[in-house]
This record gives sequence, structure tokens and C-alpha cells, in this order.
Amino acid sequence: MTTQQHIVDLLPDFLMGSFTESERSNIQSHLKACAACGREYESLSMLWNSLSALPEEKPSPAMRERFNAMLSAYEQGIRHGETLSFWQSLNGFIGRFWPTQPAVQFAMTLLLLVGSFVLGSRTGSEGLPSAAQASDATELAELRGEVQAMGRMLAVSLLQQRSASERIKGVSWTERLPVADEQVIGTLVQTLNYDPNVNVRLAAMDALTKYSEEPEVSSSMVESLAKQTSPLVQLALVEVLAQLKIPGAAAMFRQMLKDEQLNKTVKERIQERLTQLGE
Amino acid sequence: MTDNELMFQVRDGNVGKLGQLFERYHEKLYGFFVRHTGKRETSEDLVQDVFFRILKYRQTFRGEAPFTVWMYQLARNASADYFRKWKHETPMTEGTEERQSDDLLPSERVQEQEEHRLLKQALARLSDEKREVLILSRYQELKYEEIGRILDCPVGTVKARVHYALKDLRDEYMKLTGADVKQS
Repeated sequence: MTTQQHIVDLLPDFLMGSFTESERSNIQSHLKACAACGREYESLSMLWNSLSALPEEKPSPAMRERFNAMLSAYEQGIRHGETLSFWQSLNGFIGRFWPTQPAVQFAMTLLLLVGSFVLGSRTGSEGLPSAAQASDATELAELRGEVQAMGRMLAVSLLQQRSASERIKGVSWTERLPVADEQVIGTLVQTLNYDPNVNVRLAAMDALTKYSEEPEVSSSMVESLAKQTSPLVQLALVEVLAQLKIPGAAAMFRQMLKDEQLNKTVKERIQERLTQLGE
Repeated sequence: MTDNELMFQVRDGNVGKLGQLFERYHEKLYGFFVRHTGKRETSEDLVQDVFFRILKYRQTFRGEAPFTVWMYQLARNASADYFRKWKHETPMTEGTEERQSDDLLPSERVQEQEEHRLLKQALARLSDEKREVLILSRYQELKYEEIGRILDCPVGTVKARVHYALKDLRDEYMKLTGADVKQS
């Protein structure tokens, strides 16, 4: 390295502390000997050091709480196949999903009221003759049906809320319903297609995957791929459709490939999945 | 346990391990966003979004690069999505308001705060691309090679961007202060 060769290109590495000791010493010698490089280094290093003096910002403690709430809701979501007791569900719900909208709170209160009545019926039937128990069992089944209906209403109401986090709660709540009817599925499909928030759309996609064996659901998921604008949702849908080998997926993939505006990563992923599907 | 080992466990279903990765990186990520956007609440939302995305995309983690590379890729996507959706918001305007340090004399504190304010303003005036590369290289303890993977460009390009970003920062700082931070 001579004083004739300027070394400004090496300065970013030098500032980062790269190079061996002897290389650094050579560079330092050059900086002393070459006025142009020396000035450039001096001004850049002053700013580089000033940047490190800018104080670090700390997030609020609420962020950790939000993260923990999200993580436990997610963990609960992926365990939805496991049977939870009524009380566990109720406790979990109260802890994490207590809604903020008055209308939904009202629905929730009604739900709890019916739920309490069911529990009351259950404990009250102990020690009664079998005929009375059978009658109670029918009543219990009816009341459980009502709980299911209220749960459905709650889920659908939450999915209509303005806040994205409320809508995610709505999606999570649909996953707790033992049976999802046409209304719930329809709302989830609407959410997947049109919700403005990517995270809500992804959550809706996950929830719908549970019902993908039903032809109407699977075809809605295939059609939804064409409606998605976010590459993230496109990628996630491509993965699910390919993994579940959903009929019509390959045809939709080929149609997507015709779109010149399609994101490069999505395009590559679709090509990979088409090959795997033997297309 | 390394970051990648933890993330492999998260990927394979032990999602509770994400808590450890959160503890390791949420402040760094917050710093990345707040320095880039100048908005504290937005930055907290974006950190939450990144960890949500890590859960959503955990199956796609292959561990070919350090976990942080993947995390910052998700962070950039989260930020881009956010500002695409809220087009009226811009990533940076004036920088965040200074919080006070306690161990200085009042006159020193005023001077320090003024320097920081000007530097933040100068940073805010840089293009998003240049501000981002400075934040990644100066505050996130990432190597140029890793930054190259995050930004999807060659290492040489990263170094050149850092150099140009510093030059631009110097120009903007000079305009604000009138100080002679002389360039070649």
C-alpha cells in the first residue's frame, strides 16, 4: 500500500474493526501520510463514533406482556386438537380474550350465564334417579348446544371488530368451537380474502386449514390465492395448498405463474411445489 | 443454546422456546425500528409483528444462515408492509425526542442533547436505504456479510452503501450545524 493509492474504499471495513493487526497498522500509516485519505477518515470516523453515542431506546414493559399473551394464545391454538375442560377453556378465555367492545362483552356475559347454568345442572343431577338423570342429560346437551351457538356468535362478532388484535382473537375463538358451521366458515373465508391486516388473514388461513377436507372450504382456499396481494400470504397459502394436495391447487398455481407482476420468491416457490406435485 | 438451536426447537413445535429468543432480541429489534422510524409505538407494534411472523413462518426456517439474518429479513418485510398500508406515514421525520441522562452537568447535558438532536435529524434526512444500512452496521452488531444476506446484495455493495451513507450523513450534519466536518 503506497501513499499514491487512496484507500477510501477500505474505510468502512476499517471503521468496523476488520483487518488483521498488521493490515490495520499499514492503513494507519497511510492515513498519516496521505492528507486526502486522512481527512476523509477523520470526518467519517467522527460521525461513526457519534452514532454509537446516541442513547439506546428501551421498549415499554407492556411489550413483553403482549408478547407473552400472543405466545400463549398461539400455543393454545396449536394444541386445539387436545381436549380442554370447560373450566380451562373459560379461564384461558377470560385471561386472554376478554373483549373490549361493549356489544361483545354483553354476548360474553350471556355466554357465561348459560355456561354457569350448564355447570349447575351437571352438579345438581348427582344422586338423582336414572330417569331424572336422563332428562338432565338431554337438557345438558341442549344447553351445550346453546353455549356452542353463543361461542359462534362471539367469534363472528369479534371478527367484525375494527381492531386487528380483536379480529385475531375472533379467529382463535373459532378454533375452540367443536363444530364450525356455515356462518363461521363463511366469515373466515371473507376474513382470509379481504381483511386488511396480513396477520389476521394468516390466522384465518390457519383456522380454515382445519376444515380443508370439506370441498367448499378447500376450493375457497384455492380461489383465495388469486385474491391475495401480499407475497407473505401467497407463500403461506401455496405451502398449505401444496402440502394438503388440495384439488385444483396445481391449476391455480399455473394460472398464478402467468402473472408478470408475481413476486419472484412466490414464483419460485410455486415452481418448486408444482414439481413436487408432479406437474 | 445457540439462536439457531432454539429456533429449530420452535420450528419443530416447541414454540415456548421463542420466549428465549424474544429476551435476546426484542430490545435490539426495537432499537432497529425506532431508529429507522422514529416512532416508539409503531416500533413496539412492529416488534410484536416480527415475533408473530416468526411463529407463522417457523416451518420455513432452514438454519442455513444465522437466526438474526432471518429475523431481520422478517423485520424488513414487516416494516415495508406497515408503511405500504399506512401510506400517509413516512418512516422518519424528525427523530425521536431525547431522553435525559443523569450524570451530566446541566450545561453539558444541553450540549449533548443538542448534538444528539442534530445527529438524529441528519439521520432522518437520509434515504431509507442509507439509514437502514447504517443502523444495521452500527447498532445491530451484524457483519457486512450478514447485512448482505439481509438486504440480498453483495458484500461490496453493503460496504459502498455504508460509505455513501456516512458521506451523506456528514453532509446533512454539516448543513444543520454549519460545522466543518470536512470531506475530501
